[in-house]
Amino acid sequence: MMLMVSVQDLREAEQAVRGGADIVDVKNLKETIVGSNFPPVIKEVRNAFPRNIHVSVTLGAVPNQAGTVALAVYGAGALGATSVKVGFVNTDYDTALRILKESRKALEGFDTKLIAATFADSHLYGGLPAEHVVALGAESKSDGILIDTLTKDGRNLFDFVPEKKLGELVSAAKENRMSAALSGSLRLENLNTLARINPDIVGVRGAVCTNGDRESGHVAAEAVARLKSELQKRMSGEIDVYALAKGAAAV
Amino acid sequence: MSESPPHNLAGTIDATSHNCKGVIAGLEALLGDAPPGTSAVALVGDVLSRHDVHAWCDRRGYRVTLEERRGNVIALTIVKSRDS
Repeated sequence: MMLMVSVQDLREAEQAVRGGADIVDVKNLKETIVGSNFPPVIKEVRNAFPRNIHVSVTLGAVPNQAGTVALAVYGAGALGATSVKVGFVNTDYDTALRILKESRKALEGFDTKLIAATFADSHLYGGLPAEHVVALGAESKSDGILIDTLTKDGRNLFDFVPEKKLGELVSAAKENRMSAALSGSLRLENLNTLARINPDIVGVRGAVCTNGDRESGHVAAEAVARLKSELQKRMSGEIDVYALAKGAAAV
Repeated sequence: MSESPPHNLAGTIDATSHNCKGVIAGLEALLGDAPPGTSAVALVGDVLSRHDVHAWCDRRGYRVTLEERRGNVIALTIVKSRDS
């Protein structure tokens, strides 16, 4: 399981990498909840680290305009991003599929992975159900999927989709030969559940920000290192998440 | 116990490397379209991926025929069952 930390600039990216992040996900919190950052910022972050540090680019919830999105995806490829995430909220399935297929074409010749993203709480916004992401990803030949949340009011991914369902979606993505990523206000106390689901990537921001605040806080290396260490305890078996689940069930 | 027939080894998935796609995506690519009786080796570096491989084999009706620890790496040999 790789640790992905959302960052807004180079300073935060350096903190994330110093703390042990495997992926820095460049986004722009000032543009809606999950907006894109500016090309110079992405370029600066990409150039600051060796290739084994993945730099992903978030396009956020994209408009229903395949050409516009494809050009943005092309931009991510041209900037050398490891991956680009294309998210859907108020989009019907066929439109989302067309956008992803055009995005796939836009990445031809680049070593940039295409990630299809939906939101676990999209029903609150009248949006595309999150579970469609696996079919969308597979049908568009995306490299991976992401399930995130839009709501940033204290609730998180597990408030909207139960562990069993998330486990099924992650397994389905893997069996369709894609990577599977989960994020959405995830916290330290969610690590046992996350480890049992075992997505390929777990994405965080607030959990590794000063004061635990994703907006007014800044990514702090110490917080990233603490989360990474706890993740590794579960991956190594030092903390047996399966035994913990059985114990809880037996109580 | 009767001797198993030799298996055609499709390849090895090294899931200990720094790759977003995990061991299951790799095994699917190796064994998904392979004929029954084909085998593959998965190298994993953590217990969660090991658990994933076993759960996937259970769902698919495949068999883990060998599991050995090589330092920090767990090597699992998986055979696509003839009746799966």
